[in-house]
Amino acid sequence: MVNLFKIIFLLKLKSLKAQLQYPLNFLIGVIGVSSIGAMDILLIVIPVSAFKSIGGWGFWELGFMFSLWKMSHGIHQALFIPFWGHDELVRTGVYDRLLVRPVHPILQILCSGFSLAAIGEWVPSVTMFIITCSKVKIAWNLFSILFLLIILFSGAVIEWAISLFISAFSFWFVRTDSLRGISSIFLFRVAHYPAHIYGRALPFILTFIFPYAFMAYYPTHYFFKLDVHIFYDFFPYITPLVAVTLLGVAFIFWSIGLKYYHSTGT
Amino acid sequence: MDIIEVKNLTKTYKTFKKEAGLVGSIKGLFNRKYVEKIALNSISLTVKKGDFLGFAGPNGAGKTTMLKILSGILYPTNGEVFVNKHTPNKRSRSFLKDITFIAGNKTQLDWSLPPMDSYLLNKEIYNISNSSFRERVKVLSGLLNIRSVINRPVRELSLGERMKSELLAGLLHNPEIIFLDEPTIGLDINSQKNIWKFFRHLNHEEGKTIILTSHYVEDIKQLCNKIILINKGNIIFNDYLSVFLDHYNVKRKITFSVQENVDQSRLKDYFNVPNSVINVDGNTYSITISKEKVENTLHKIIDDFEIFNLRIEYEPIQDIIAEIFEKLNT
Repeated sequence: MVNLFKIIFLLKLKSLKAQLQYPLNFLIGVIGVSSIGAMDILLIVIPVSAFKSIGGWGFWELGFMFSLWKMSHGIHQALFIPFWGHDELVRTGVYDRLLVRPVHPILQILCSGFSLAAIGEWVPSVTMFIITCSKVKIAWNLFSILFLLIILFSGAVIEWAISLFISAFSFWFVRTDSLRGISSIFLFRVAHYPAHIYGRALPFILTFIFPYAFMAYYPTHYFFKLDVHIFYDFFPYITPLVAVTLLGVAFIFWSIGLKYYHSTGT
Repeated sequence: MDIIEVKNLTKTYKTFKKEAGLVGSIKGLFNRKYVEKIALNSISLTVKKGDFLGFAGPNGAGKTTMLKILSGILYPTNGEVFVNKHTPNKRSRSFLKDITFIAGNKTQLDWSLPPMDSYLLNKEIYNISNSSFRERVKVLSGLLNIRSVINRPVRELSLGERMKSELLAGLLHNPEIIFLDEPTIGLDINSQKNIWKFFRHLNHEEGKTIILTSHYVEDIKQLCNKIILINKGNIIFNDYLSVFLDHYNVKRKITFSVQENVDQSRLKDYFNVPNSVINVDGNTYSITISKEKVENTLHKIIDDFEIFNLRIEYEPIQDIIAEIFEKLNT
């Protein structure tokens, strides 16, 4: 087990070292992602200040939800982002190398990238979260703080599980960017507003197909003691369960896909 | 002892047939025609511990597919495969520690870092102790003559140096079975010779079992004791290299130069083998005949002509193999 952590550390370190070979590119990455993050927040602020509230949620509820989402997303970017490059690993035959090493391929892929640019996700989202918490009264206690931490990590896992599931398609079709594009629209656009404003179809998709609503929308109900408008009252509590289940399903699907890996000729 | 055992191994790929052009692509969306491609067709073979086996065959014959199934990268469609008593595609830890897969056209080294960084990672992945790591790096880098290279970023290395660093990375964990996929691709003749010497050391001194695929038949001739010819997924020859040469290397080329005063028009018809005499240049001729006829023909040449510069050559092995495949595929 100790050895495993050493492997993870070395893989991450190697990838960090490789990135630092090109320091300017790295610096621009951090600054760029931070500014995009700040702009995302601005894009929430503008419609909310115009309409006062959206779907019955005021500025602080929306801000809380958004910062929750963005912090989870930041964890995803720091830990799980390498799966966005999964198509390439299949197309270029890098999998050949991953499969002959005595460490699980998924672990090797996870460790193959180290995105310090994820800091750019954290700077605006944590700032937003702190401001929100200072403006509204949330009953913080040991349980709710613990729950918050679990939610943040579970949210990242949900995002990763969906990404892993999509990745598995590349064993059959090699390229999955259009599917990833559709998923991204729900992740980066639709999930930024309370799901119940969208009518019937979109909340269904956000809950059961690309379940990004469990990253921030449902958990926000718990912290603000809000009534659940769609589906079931217990949904604000099951984010960790959703994360574990999704990851299990994605893992099984990935394992099936691996049998269809063609590799590339020489 | 058989270290590798393959029984009735079949591997098929399903690909869908694409028609050219935009209209074809749109048609393909609605009416997909799947084509089943047989990469390996009911193959059986065994490899003994300490063998140096070469797979030869044209592009797409199934050589690399075979190697990738043996190393657990690809799943077989049908049949049984055992490598060191393991089923490769289960990829158990102990199996993966026993093997290595090194490809000439793919790298496990990080482009922007020195090879040493990758070696240190492999040290942890394969759980190699400090002392045996140091020892192994020292021995292998000495044999490959790359001691001065392994601390420089990979992007600064020549192709030959990169390939040697690659070999070191793949052999740090001292695997019993070594799979080599086109290991000398793109290398100049000196690097190629150095690498041959290194492989011979692994096979003769360290007793490793080595399985190799190569387009360069010369690799196989120089290194292997066994050869498997594979064509469109079928094995067409599987035995010792010496048996192969006895069986197929049956032609000899005799080249000789005649004196100026010989009636050269006579020469073409003289040997009773139509089209076999070629005028190489000026008064130099060559004749290709079966090995049984060599003695008679030599007598004839020496007795009936005034000659100088006599030379007898084997047919190059790549020509023999090229001819075998040409016959099969026309």
